[in-house]
Amino acid sequence: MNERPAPETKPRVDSLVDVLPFSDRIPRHDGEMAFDQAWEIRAFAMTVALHEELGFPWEEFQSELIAAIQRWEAAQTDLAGWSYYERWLAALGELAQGKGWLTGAELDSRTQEILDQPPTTDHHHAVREPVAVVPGA
Amino acid sequence: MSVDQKIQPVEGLSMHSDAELAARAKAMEAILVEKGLIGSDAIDYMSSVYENEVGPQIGASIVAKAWTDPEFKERLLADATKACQELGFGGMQGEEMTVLENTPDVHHLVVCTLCSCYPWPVLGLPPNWYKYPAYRSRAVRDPRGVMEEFGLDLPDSVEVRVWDSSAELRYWVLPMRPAGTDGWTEEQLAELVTRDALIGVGDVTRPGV
Repeated sequence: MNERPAPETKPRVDSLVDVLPFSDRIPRHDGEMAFDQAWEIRAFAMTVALHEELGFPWEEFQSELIAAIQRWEAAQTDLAGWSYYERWLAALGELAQGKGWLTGAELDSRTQEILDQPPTTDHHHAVREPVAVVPGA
Repeated sequence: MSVDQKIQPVEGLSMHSDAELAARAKAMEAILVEKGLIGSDAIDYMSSVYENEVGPQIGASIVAKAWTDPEFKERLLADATKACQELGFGGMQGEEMTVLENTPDVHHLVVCTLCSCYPWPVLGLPPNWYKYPAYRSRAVRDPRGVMEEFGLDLPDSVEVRVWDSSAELRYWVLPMRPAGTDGWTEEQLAELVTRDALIGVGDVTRPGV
């Protein structure tokens, strides 16, 4: 349950991050990659896992990310205002469609399905007593 | 990007809130996993590489302050949401936080039995195992067994209480200050506090002990 990643994994992933476009814009905390939202780390991890499991060249994702950032810059006047992981997710979507892993329509309808679900329906009440107590011997 | 800041809408894209982006990331993962292109476990593994970096530094600094400032500790235990706001930490609108104090007689363990409710503005992102069904069910059925797996061996005399975090009320643990740390600064103390200790699957020890 409490697994830690193998020590050689982090340098390997770091080296992928180092070659990304606009890497100075990657949010960091004390020099390490920092994520503000759970979906950001999920999108990041999904991309690296796909690269490692399916073996597509990392340059293909790099190119999609550059293109996604350029699309933003072409459409906006505030060139500095983009979010790294919003563009990351757009790039991953393009890559996935280009590879035939999914279609835009599939992705849109699944996204809508998830948005239509009320969040944590069952878990919106406060539980104010312990759910289990194991007395000391 | 801060929690409140909205992402700028992009022409040709309808995504412009964190909720929508989160749903899109989730949708993509669900489709790729269903099609057998990738396993959730491979994604979990890669996210574990950096999840410690998001880390519980804020929670650790709050614990260190509570250890050195008895009046703050009292306020923290009385109303954690308010005490954390006092230090500038918060951001979960309308949601309540409660801090549970470990003592030599009572040890607290936190779980979200249904999903992965977690006080992330203070503790960072939850670790993968916090979301696994194995932790969510076993923490309630066999908390001592779970803690042993994490390397925490409590004396038999200690009572264990398990608390269920929900979207409305999220718990975290104030661990016991380790012996032999008299005169340590808040910064030194904060270094000792781990995420596991703040969830209750670990405790805080002095290095070399």
